[in-house]
Amino acid sequence: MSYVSFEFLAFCVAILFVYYIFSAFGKYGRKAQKYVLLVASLAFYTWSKLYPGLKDGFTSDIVSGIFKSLSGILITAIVSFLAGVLIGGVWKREAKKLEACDDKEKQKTIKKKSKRLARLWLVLALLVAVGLLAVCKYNEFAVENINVILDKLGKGQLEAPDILLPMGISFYTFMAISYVLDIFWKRYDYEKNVFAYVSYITYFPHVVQGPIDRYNKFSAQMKDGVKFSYKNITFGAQLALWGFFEKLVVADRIGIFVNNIYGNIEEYKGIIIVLATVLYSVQIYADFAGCIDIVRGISEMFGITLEKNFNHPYFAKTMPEFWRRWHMSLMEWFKDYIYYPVSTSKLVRSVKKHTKKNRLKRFGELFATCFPALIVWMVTGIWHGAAWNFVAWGMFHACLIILGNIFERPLAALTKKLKINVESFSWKLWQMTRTFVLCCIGRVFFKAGTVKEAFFIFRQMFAKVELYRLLPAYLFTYGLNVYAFTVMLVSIFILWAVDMVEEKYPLRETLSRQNLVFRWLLIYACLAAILIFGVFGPEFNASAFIYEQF
Amino acid sequence: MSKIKNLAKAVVFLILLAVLIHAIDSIFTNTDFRIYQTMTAFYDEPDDKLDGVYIGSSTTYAFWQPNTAWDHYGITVIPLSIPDMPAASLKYMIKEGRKTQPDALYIINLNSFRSAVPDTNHFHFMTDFMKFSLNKIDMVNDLGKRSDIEWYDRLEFLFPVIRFHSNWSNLYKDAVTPEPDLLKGGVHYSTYLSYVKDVTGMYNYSEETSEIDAEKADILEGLLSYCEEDDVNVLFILAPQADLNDESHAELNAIAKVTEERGFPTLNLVNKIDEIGLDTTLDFYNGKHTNIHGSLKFTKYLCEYLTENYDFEDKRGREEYSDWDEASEKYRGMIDEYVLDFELTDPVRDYTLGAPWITTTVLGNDIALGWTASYGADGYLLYRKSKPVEGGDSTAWELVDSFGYETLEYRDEGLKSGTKYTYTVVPVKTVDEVVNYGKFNHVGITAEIKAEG
Repeated sequence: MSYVSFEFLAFCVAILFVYYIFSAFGKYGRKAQKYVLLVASLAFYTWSKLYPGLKDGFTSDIVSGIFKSLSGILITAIVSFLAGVLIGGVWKREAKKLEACDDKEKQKTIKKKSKRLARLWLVLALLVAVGLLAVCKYNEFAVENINVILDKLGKGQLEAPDILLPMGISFYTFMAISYVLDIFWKRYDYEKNVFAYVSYITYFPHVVQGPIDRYNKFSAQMKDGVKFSYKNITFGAQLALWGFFEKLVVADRIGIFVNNIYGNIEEYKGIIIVLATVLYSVQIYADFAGCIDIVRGISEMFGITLEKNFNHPYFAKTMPEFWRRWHMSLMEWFKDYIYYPVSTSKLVRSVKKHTKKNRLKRFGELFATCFPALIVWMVTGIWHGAAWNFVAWGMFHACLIILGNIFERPLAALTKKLKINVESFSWKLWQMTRTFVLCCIGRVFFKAGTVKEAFFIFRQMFAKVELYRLLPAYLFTYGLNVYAFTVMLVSIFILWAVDMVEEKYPLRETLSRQNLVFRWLLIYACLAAILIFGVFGPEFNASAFIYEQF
Repeated sequence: MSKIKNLAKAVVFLILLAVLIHAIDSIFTNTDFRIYQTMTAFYDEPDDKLDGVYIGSSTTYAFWQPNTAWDHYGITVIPLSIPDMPAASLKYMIKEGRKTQPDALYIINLNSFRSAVPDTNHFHFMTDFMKFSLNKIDMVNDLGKRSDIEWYDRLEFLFPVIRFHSNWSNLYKDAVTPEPDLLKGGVHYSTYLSYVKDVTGMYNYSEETSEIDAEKADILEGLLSYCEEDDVNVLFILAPQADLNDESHAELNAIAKVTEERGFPTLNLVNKIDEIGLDTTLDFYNGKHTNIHGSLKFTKYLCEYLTENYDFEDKRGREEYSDWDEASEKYRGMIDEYVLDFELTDPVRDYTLGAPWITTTVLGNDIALGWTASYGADGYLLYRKSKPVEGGDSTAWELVDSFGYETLEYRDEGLKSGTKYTYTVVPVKTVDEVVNYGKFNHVGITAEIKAEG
């Protein structure tokens, strides 16, 4: 069930209705709301099989199909839940033993033993979760690359097993890992109710494309259930509405132009590819941010605030800042579960230690920041897709971050020497433009199917200028006529303006303080814009979300 | 208190939202305004004012001329018809009609059983101009289920904006909503008015019956049960289409047989074209439909049947029906360049008098005409109409002169330059002082007097 469908809207309305009926039954009713969400999420997750069953009756094929599609996510959920129970149990027993023991040596032994046991459960859980992700998502990629080597060695070829990729596996696996690691690091207590935990992993607003939520924040909101709140409903609906605007009016219209150029890339050269790439950067933002706003809005209607995923990334002045604003829940995840553990690992510590007292001190510092970044970006690349172009994209960003680190001081000195006013608007604009352009270059790897194709696109981009393609006689023939192109530009402007205002003021709160007529007019205008200019319906075949494939 | 206030706000918000969606919907609804005119003609009629509602596919409006029926018999029967209206929607259309005309006669075109369910385009034709109601929702659901369309994909038939909103950049070109033509469902599209197709070769006379397709049988049963339960005054008609193959003809015959056996009055007219007076060489514009000449004959035939078998009063001259007089006058003005004056009266026809073959020769500002003799004719009527070469309206057909049987030529003199003249010749025979009109070329022969200089 797509988030951009009438089916999904009707589904949400029905679940909201049941959800808040429960809240009317007092404390116990509200405690049961998590079960409503669990059933709803499982139904959502298996909808493509469940719906034919509900309509025409459940055959054995349909039932087995439902179980098959649930197996991946349930294995990860239950294994991580059990790991939480086991690790949490170890920490509880450890605490009791430590309390009963005064001998420091014995305490050390208790701690060591507990940690060893907890680590065992942790490793086993990670093996299952990461193993499933690897097998489901990367088996074809691995077999493909092994076959290249086998081919060079003159050996026979392997065949990739036909494994169904569970929906949202990259997202729910990361959520499960974060939970187990948090329990292992004693950040919060483990969950004792398996249903509460599974309802977190399978929660339908975040299971397909995130955001990657943390269990402690999620469960705190669900613990005592949610009372009906007019504000939750209206704020949530408004956010979702804006999400639909971003997706259907902005992203999907740009998509028509971009797909037209990128779909026939060999026919084009120069400026038009540059334009398509720039627009693609806007498209992917509006698409992904739109989806996140839809699901955050829907979730808000259920009284659950999901992690923020975007903070106007194209206003970032440096690459690291960009990544603090883009896909924030993923980047936070990498920071917490990869960057910090690597940067505090024995290897990094020992390099730092050995370079501290001699001239290599700067190298040690750089290694301590660059090595974890390299690892993070390798994983980020491969997380986005089982293909070398994603790895290349990750490496491109790793290079930018590392070079940024290396040249940070010399560049700062240079700007000082050149007496550049780094606080001026023009300098900030330059920085934003530079970051955006670098980002666009990276997008070519992201959009291309292969590394080879990415370099081909670069070649086409710089082979000729072909400025004439921007003339009306040409420009309006790439899928968007003059009117559609104008609507695209206006919608991008609206997106930019809203981001601009939000950058300075809390827009939603400010709007909520305005007069009712003004607020309603804005909502109706947004609805009318979606109804009229949205790329949806049978004439369009609304396109899938770009980030759904991850 | 705040809960009540919030609830009230939500209700007002949703009502305004519905108004907004409806407004956008009406702007983006599909642009086949022929259907709009037909549907509007029905909806505009005051409650309980119609003698009959004629429901069915294009076979309905291309055969039945409401204005001719009014002119000659003073009866009020409006077509509630949509191109390719499928069988499954007949029941819902009757229900729609009975909302305002509960006691009217419902004439149901069984030709709709040529298809059980509509394709997407015709589904829109069915629903785009139908008023929003529970009956419409029921129809969309029933047709959707029968066509295996999921409920969420059926929404486009309730809210056409879902399909047509992509047309926003063309809105400025198209008239948003036209004015109702006030013609009581009388149609005037060009093929119907000016095309002639000889369908003699394809016309299929048959009394054969066959098994009815299961889906259609189910639809038929639902329709008949509804008519019985709600005591609908109904008349089933199978109109004479030329393009029925053996299979579909046999199935339609079987369906007509079922309606008859269930006790409903049924007219199977496929094999009765001679009785109706339809000429397969001249009275159709394609295999499915009569042209205006054929439809005038069909209308008169059906009017005879209706006035004989139903208690329909002649309402001509009543003040409350002056709108019918206006519609009829307007319609006559629209078709007078396509039909000859006697066609609009109640002429006696003699189809043994073949249509003369006409030739024209332009001689300066004169046109010399010649025509072949029509065996048995005792005279000829020469008709003419004209139109500027550069474009503009045509004049009505006018009688130039009448001739005896021995005259087979005429020189039309002193004609205007830069004008196209069209002629047709009607053979006549007077029997007992009554003029019998023979066949004639419905389109006529055109000659052009070139512009001077």
